[in-house]
Amino acid sequence: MSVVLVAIFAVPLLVCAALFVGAAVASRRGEIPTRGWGRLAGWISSAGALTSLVLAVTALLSYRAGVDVSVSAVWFHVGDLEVPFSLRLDGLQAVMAVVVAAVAFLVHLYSVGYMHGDRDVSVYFAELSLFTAAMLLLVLSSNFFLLYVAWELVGASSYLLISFYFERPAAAAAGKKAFLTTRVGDLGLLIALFAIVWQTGSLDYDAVFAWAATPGFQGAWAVAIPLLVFAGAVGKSAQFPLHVWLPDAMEGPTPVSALIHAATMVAAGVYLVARAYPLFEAAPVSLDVVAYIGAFTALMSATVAVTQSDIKKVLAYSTISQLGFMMAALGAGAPEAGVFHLFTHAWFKALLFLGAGSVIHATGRQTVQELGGLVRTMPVTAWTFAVGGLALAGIPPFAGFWSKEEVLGSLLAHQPVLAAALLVASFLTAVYIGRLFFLVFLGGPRLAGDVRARGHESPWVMALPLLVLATASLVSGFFGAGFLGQRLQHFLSIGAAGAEPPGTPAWFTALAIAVGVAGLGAAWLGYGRSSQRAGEALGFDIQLRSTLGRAYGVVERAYLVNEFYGRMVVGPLVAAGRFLWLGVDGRVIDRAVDGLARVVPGLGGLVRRVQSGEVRDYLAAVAFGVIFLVALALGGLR
Amino acid sequence: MTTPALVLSSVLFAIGVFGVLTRRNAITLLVSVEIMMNAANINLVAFSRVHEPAAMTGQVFALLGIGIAACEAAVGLALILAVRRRFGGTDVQSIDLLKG
Amino acid sequence: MSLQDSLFAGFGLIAVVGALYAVITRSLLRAIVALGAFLTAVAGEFYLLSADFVAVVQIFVYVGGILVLMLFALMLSASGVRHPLAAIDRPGLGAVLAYAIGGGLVWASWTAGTFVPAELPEDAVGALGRALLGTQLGPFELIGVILLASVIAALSIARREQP
Repeated sequence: MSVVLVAIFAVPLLVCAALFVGAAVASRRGEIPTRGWGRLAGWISSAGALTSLVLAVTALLSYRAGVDVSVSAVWFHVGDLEVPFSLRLDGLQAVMAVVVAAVAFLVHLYSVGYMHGDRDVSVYFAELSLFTAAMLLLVLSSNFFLLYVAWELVGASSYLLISFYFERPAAAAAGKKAFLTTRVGDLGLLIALFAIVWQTGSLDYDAVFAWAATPGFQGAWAVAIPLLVFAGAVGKSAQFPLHVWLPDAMEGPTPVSALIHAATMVAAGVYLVARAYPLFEAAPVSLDVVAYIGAFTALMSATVAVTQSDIKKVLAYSTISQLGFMMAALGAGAPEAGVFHLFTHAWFKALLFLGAGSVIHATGRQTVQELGGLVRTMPVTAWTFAVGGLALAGIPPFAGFWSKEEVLGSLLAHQPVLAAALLVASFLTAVYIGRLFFLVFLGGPRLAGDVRARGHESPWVMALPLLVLATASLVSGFFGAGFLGQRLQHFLSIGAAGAEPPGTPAWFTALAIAVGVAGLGAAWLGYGRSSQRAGEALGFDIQLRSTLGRAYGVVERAYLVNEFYGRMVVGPLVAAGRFLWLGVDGRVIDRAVDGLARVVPGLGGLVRRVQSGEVRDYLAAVAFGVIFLVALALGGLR
Repeated sequence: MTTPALVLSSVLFAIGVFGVLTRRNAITLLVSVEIMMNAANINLVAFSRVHEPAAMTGQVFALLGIGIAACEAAVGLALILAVRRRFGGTDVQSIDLLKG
Repeated sequence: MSLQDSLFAGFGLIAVVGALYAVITRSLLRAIVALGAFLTAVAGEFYLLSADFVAVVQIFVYVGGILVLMLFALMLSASGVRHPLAAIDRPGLGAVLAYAIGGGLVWASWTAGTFVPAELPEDAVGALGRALLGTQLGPFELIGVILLASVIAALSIARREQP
């Protein structure tokens, strides 16, 4: 019994509460939030996140030493169902907790510099701390109920942070879209939890997984429950067909995109599938669904990423694609490989986002047409971004190579078709990240005379996280690298024991490397070589557009999925809402209420005449009463 | 002589009721109420000889009734003066603040 | 028909006529004077019903006190002296209700059976005094308190409002 696990998520929660109270008190007093106060709030919440990180590492070490750190207390009873407040730690959860806390700490630190001079910084840090606490609770909980609570809490804080610049209509709409779209998946998860309670009477991980291993777990529920759980993961991890919210979520501050929409929250879906893996193992069909959806998403969004011109949109589609890689690995029966990729991806994608944030912070621009040649003015950002890009492209010895090789290897063994699809996606990954790097950092400024677009190096609070994450992007792959004995995968130990993944053939590894190098080479040919001269680098995009015709436009607009949803889902819903508003509420309910409101005074007006206020009328009424009573008494006497 | 007294008091009471219901002047209302109280007193005195004459209970209550009538007249007339100051007259029809 | 019966009928007639006149006259002053006649006639009836003391009190308190009080009120309000009132308002409703109540009571009195009046004690006034200060002491004291309270109430109601 230990309070370490509670403290891990309670510290950021207390920070959040303190900052909210502070902001409320300050605004009540009518004080205008000062920059100094915002900076202080940033340091306080950074300290909170650092405390969580230290505690998470401590917990991981004590778990490795065999100490039982789990916590359990009865939370409440509902009928026969007893819901405990229980936390625990196993390999998967320990790794997730450390990753979340570490990225959260670095993003907090980076935000101190990035949000410098923004309004309501203390509220921003309060919401960031709330997210950190909720995400840590999500990975530490030991039952599905607590997981669901945290699951919705991260969704809510994600909503708050996407809409942080709520005076911009696009940001407000993006937050709403993210929340509503993920809710669609959450509904599936909720139904799955209902089904689990109905079938087993418990939500505890161990009890549910033990039930999944019994022969009683079969039939329709055995397929439906994993698929419903996967629906929740699809929403949170932005997999097709619920991926539409993530590109829009880029309206939030860039550090938020790095923390929530690249490293941690979107990985919660992957974590959920890995966590509930025994359920999936019991129904192989559901694993196939996971694999196909993951691979399809990976390939589709990789193609979209090639066409985007907004830095953050490229990275957003890249994130969706990489999450698809993870899902595919999970579906192919190699959850360790998927979580390994989650682990490395968290570092290098956070790095890429923070690098993009550094560029945006320095230049105020975020489309590739307006940027260029920043390697000269922002060397630290440029080189750390390069490290992140190489990791993403899967070039050895960077982290992404090792995890992607594991993913591809596991798919080759089980689903060769999907492995081929993911190889294509890998190629496209190298192309789009190469394109982004060459266009933003090499060449010269695209717009002559735009002084601010030349940029400047970011302050140390922003550079330090970049350097730390670059280091992590370089070394984190070795934790799970095949030639070092896949120590991370053994530590994770998800799923059935003894299912040792078959080694990847050497020719396939070589092919994977060749694909990555070829992608970067293609990007160099298209965008890097000629980018010395202004305006020419984008010529390749124009060529592609003219060659592919309308197909390019369709890809650029993300295969028109948003338009499809707008036409098929949102439009009818809005029409139905308008009908209920104007037709039913306005014509029927309002009129009924108005009519009632007219009838009551009318009746009252009839009755009020009785109250004449004249004493003799009341006396006459008394006389009538007397006559009645006397008659009654005399009648009774007879 | 008891029954004629009862009939007399009944008639007088009815006259009082008639006055209370039909007159608009507050002082006349008071007059009518006094008539009703006297009718009741006649009843009490008449029954005084029928039920326990030695205890004189009926006569005692007639006396108490007269006392009550005095109280009522004092308070009632004071009220009439206050009402006249407030409403400018003693017409009870104009006193209708309770009108709904 | 004995002298007593004749006197009873005569006083009754005066009482009824006085009451009727008090109730239907247009003039307030005449109403109060008619009330005086009515009250005196009722005192006579009390005497004939062998309630001498009550008759005396009736004269003292009613005719001497209340009636004078009413005259004072009439003079102070002075509304009905110069402006004769409408004699009767809504006579139909009043008559019907009064007839119903009065008729019911008369019928009840008439059919209630015969009552045999007993002789009062020799020392009737002494018995009355003993009863007042003996068995009926509680109500008697209570009436004193009520009188005091009503005097204070009358003073406070009739007093002009403080400027």
